[in-house]
Amino acid sequence: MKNKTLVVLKHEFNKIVKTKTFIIMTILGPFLLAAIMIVPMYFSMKSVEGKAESLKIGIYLADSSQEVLAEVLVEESTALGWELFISKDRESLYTQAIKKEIAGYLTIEADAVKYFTLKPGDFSVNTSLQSIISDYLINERLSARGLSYEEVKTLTQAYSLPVFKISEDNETGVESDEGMEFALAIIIPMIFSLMIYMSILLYGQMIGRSVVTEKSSKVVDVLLSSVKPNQLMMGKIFGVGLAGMLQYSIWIFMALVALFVTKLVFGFAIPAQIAMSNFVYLGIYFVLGYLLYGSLFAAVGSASEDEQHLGQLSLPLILFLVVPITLISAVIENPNSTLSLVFGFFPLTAPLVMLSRITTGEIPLWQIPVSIGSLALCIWFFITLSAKIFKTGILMSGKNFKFREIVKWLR
Amino acid sequence: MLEAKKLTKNYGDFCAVDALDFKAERGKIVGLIGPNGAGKSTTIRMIMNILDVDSGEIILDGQKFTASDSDKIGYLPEERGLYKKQKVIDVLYFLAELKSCSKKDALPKIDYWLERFDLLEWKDKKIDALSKGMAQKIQFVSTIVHEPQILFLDEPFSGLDPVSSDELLSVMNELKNAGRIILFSTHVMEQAERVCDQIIMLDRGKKILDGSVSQIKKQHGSDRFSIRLDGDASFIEELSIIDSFSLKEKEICLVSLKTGTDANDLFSVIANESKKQNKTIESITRNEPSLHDIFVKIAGKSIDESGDVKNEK
Repeated sequence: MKNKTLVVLKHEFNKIVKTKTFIIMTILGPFLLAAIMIVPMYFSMKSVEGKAESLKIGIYLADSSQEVLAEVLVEESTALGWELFISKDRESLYTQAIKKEIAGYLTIEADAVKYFTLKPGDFSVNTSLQSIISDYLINERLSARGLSYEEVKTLTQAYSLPVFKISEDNETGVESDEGMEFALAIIIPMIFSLMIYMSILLYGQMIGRSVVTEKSSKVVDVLLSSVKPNQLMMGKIFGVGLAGMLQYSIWIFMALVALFVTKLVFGFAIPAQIAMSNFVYLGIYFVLGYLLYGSLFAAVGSASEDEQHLGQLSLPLILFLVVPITLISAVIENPNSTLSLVFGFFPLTAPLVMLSRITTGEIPLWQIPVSIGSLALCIWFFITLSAKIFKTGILMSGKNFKFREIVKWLR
Repeated sequence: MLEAKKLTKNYGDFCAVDALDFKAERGKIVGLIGPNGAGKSTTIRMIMNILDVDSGEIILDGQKFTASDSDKIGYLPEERGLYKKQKVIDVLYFLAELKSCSKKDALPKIDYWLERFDLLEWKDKKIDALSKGMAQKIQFVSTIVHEPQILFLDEPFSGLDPVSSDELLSVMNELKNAGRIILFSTHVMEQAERVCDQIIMLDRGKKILDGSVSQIKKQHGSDRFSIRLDGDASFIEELSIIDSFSLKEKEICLVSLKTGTDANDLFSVIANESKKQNKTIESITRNEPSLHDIFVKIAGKSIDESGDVKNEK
């Protein structure tokens, strides 16, 4: 006798893989994701550049004794690409600022320098102006005590602390770019968790829908005259799962190729967060999370009357997927906190939370096999549970069941 | 031969099928009839192992029938459904594969049956491009591609045009002559009467009729007669043995007898009375009731007793 689970599996797999949506998503998915990340970055960079080109600031000199400061401001700001100009007419500066011809104007009086602008929240402009002014003032005060400009500059030189990232095989470490490092430490675990969240949700709901469509179109009666409910459910879970894994393999392959090319062309070292091993963990936790939620979605699908009812019944499942997403930045910042541990080992949130904890590279290694092992056990438990619900639910019709009633079927 | 022995299924306190016994021989079309909620679907689902049996057993050719025998069954459920977005050939092949049919076996048979039902050109079309009747024929094909020993057909004729109906009937007869067991369920009694060699009627989980159509008619049709005289027949209404009376023409009437009387009583009473009135009997014939009448009579009574019909689950 042919293995009927396999027949169902093949059917489900083909049903998904041959659709246009699947093909398009598989090929364009990574590009879309890249676009989502790169486009806002591009625009924020663009806006910084734009500011550098067009910023015009007036200086109103009330007290000619401070003329030197005004000149220093004009000179120093050219380095930033800004245009500062001195004016004796405060009224016209005000009008220009209001008409947005200039970004704002400074007023220099004997004892105070003030900045007037329509946009007082523009942090980068404020700090730049402030640092020029305070540098000048420190210089002034010290020269008053008989130090030359050059001497003051060397004496007040700030120290920038170089940061090195060390690892097991590199004691001297690699000098790191702080900003880049920070971005990777936050962004990579985020992307990984989002991917897992989206794909579990997508494929889980696909199973739920597949079950409910068969149930409402009555195909299920015919199917059950050939296969056992268990075989039907497992065939579905593995068939849809295999399609998901195919998609994942293609994505991971594309990512690795992209990394390899980047390395070759730009000569960047691949940071720890996008190490090969993290892709492996992504794969493992996707499979585990998928099996867990896939079986639950199958159970929920079998108990539903139509797609709408499926939506209601699967709400609690979706909630368990969404909660870790809201906690993700807390988890990434502090992967060994109690919160991170609790959600990392609670089965329904584990796949997402553990994966983001692992990608931070800051958790004790023993936790990884323990987490995978305990999740596997839970999956076995949830699949048994779901199979029981499935067997009863699939034949029940004509009623929108509540959760309470479904739990009764377990007895 | 398919045999059910003391088949029982309870849903909580409700007994859907109650110690049901029946036999269905090879080479016969067996009609499974009964009002809604009588337990037909439950019985079929138990035989197919979709539902667990509470007690009793099912035996095919002397062997206990188990879940692993599901490949020997073909099932056409009353509520039809196929994957709408898939091609005819893919659906048929998938369902055949589920019955452990190899590709080499299945494909030529699919072609043969599609040809038979004049659907070959639709092979690569999607199901939702088909008309309702066509989809129905496709579904029938899906139940027979794997050459099942037992065929369950629930309302197979509904929605078919006369040509397709005839084709279906001739296929059913072919399969019957090839020694398959065919269980046929319908609410259209004229169909059951025309098609079935044996009728089993269920009511509230129990078997209340079992036999060939003519046997059943004999059991249930002994009290109706039509009488023709050579003169006015209206006097018959006044006779003491008559239960119901209707005059069809001046000389012809239909009657039913009161319980405890039979044809002999009718003959003698009419003979005497006619003679007194100087009339002659032209004919007295026993009217066979239709299966429809028998069904309505039995099911109607049971509905009166229980107050309402329980919905089939």
